[in-house]
Amino acid sequence: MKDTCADISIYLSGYQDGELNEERHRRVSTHLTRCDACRASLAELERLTTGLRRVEDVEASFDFTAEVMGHILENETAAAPARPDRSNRFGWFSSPALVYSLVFIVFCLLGFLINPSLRPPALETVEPPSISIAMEADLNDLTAYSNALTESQQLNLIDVQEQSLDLLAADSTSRSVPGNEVDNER
Amino acid sequence: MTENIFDMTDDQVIRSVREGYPRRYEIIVNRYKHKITNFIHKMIFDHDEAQSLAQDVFLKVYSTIDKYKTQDNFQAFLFTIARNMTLNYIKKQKRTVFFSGFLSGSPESESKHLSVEDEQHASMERTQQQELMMDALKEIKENQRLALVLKVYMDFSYKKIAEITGWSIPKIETLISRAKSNLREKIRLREDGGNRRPQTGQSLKKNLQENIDQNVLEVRTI
Repeated sequence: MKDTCADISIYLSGYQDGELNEERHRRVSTHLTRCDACRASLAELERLTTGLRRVEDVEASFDFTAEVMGHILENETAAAPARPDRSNRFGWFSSPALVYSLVFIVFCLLGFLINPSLRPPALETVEPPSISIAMEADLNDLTAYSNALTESQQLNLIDVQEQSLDLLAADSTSRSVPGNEVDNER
Repeated sequence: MTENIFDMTDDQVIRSVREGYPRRYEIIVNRYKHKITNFIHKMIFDHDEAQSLAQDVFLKVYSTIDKYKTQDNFQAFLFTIARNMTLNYIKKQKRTVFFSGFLSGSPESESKHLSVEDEQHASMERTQQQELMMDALKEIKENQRLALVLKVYMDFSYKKIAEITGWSIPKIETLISRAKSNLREKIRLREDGGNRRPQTGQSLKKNLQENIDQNVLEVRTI
């Protein structure tokens, strides 16, 4: 099937720019060999492009680069002191994991201090009764008290009780026979 | 063996800039300053503004240099930023023109970037043909102008233009074709001095056919 001028005209610009694929390029070339009007259109496109290329190019000014680099280096030096030296500024504290851990611990401690229900239960300590208290106590009270003590404590208490009874017995004996001392002296 | 820094590729220069040699960015600036200034000038037609904008482009590229992946095409990266900043500038200018025109009531007089005196001086240096081309270029749509400038003045392939603009290749093909067609028409009008002969039935038919062809091409592209 032969291409019409309308078919080809849409590809003329691409043909001129050398941007057509092989198949389209071949179709346009074939059509141009037998179509004066399309050849004239292509020539007109060429004249237009030549005219466009004649428009003078402009160039950057002599101090263009110096101005750009001046801006850049000025900003670089201004920014340099503000840039934190991560390696030395915080030392060991610069590790984020460590910081997060410390923050977590501080929050936990604060939580325990503020909310008593979060505190761990206090350990119940049983104070062993002192020997002097046991000695002063009434014997009945001492027996009742001894029931609440542990076995070893009870054994200790029994020893103390027996010693106390011995002392009391010795005391009453010496008070009931006052002449014994004289007799002994004699 | 000592490596000559001026023989370094763009990627090598960028890498060394990142590694703590900011002064080496100068190599990049020197390599592309004329090309970027020329590209912007062809888009906005004001040398001073083009130069100022080109400097901003290089500063922007430096500040976003970490975003550039060294395996990519640096030129495409540079021109993408230049293209974005130029189109933003044009948009801003249009807004300024609109508001100043709204306030003063003379939008046409404000639409010229150069003063009348500067324009006359610049005109003397240009040939009439060049002036005709520049004026015609100013009048076509930005997207068409962008595609055409990248092709004709920067000598980029359609593929590279696609990288810079993010457009598809068929779209670029259409935009360039339409840009050329519109330019031809505007130049023809100017050459005729505005006194165009009334169109005959034949030429009307031809123009209609051209419009239909362009629309068909656009529909195909979409």
